[in-house]
Amino acid sequence: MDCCSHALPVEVNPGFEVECYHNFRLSIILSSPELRPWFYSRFVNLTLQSYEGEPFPIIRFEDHLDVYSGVLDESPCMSAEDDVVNNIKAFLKSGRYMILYLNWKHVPSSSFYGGQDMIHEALVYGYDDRSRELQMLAFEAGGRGYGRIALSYSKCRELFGRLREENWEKHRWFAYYGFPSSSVKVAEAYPGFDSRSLYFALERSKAAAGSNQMKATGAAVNRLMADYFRDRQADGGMNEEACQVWDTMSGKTILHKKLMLQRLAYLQRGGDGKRLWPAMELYRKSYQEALHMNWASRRYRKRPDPKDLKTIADGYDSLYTMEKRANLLIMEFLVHRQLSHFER
Amino acid sequence: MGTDERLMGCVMNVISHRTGLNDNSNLLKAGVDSINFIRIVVALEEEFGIEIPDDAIVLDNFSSIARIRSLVLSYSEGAAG
Repeated sequence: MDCCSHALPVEVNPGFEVECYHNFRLSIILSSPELRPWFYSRFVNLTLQSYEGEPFPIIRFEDHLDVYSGVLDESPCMSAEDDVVNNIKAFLKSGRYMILYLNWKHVPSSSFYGGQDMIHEALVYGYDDRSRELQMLAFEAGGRGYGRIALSYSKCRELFGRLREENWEKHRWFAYYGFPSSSVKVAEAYPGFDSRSLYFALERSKAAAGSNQMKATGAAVNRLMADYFRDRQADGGMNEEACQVWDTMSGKTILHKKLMLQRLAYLQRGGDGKRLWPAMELYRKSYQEALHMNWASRRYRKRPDPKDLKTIADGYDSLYTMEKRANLLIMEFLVHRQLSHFER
Repeated sequence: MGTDERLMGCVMNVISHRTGLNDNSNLLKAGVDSINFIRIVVALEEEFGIEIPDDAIVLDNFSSIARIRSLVLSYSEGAAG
């Protein structure tokens, strides 16, 4: 740190673009190698909430922002009198990142510039007094889906002032997402890998879901998605509104398989890794299947053909079968590892 | 092993070691269908430690060895290999 600038470390691409509020926090966490074990015991299950009235089923990770309790110390900051830039600089100097909400329709480097209101957070990780700019990670700005941008001090002051005047009431319900600004730091005594958390998440992933149900956790999400696509095939196709959400949900399906593979690689490195080979193989095939389904989804959106909806439904059926088996194998591995302490 | 050999290895493992392929052979005619090309994507990602973005996962990018090489090189900056 010199007198004019300071920047905290960030992981520029945590891969959670499809769940933005996680991406910002994970940009902090994944910049510290020692926090990766914590990460590998979280984000195990996807869930599907009821999709009645929704244009497309909404899939999200089971973990919400409370997952960071104990690993990130996050608190709302700034009073009405404070200068936003001075405040941010003071926090950064003390090792705290800032989550800051702005209306991106006023930011020239944003793809939302000049359009409708787009209130979204950014993660401020640095400043430079020479260029009089803040360094931040932001969505859909600087020509990237998620990445580094610089915002001048004056623009930041202007935008934060406008946020208070124009967008406060409507967005106050995002207070627990960090609105309008929060400071964040890695907790002093952060937790490591939590095999209990992983085990019970896998246990929840076994929950069955009948075809008449509309919510599911874990492997059963795939079963409901298979039903959904079969129904759309029978209905004659997908509507335009559904197609807008579809791409994001496909992205989450792919991300989940990638994470499971990273988690398995981590567990394998911990010893007795051969036991995990069959689970690894099943998740490798799941990842492949998810990519293929995504490809078929895109093809359908370009040139609708009901055969692609059947391909996708069949793909979700395969994911259900493979993940159910793989998760049981991982649980068996964890049980064996837990009991091996007694068997030595 | 060089990049070309590793790349050919990924393709050949998927299309069952067909012989007589050159840089510009049409892989779609050599048996690369939608499932096989996704298998090639996964094999390349693992072999080269890269991530091929969704937008690039289109059959055209996998229609010949030359096109696959160009794709891999464009995403290999900073990755092993």
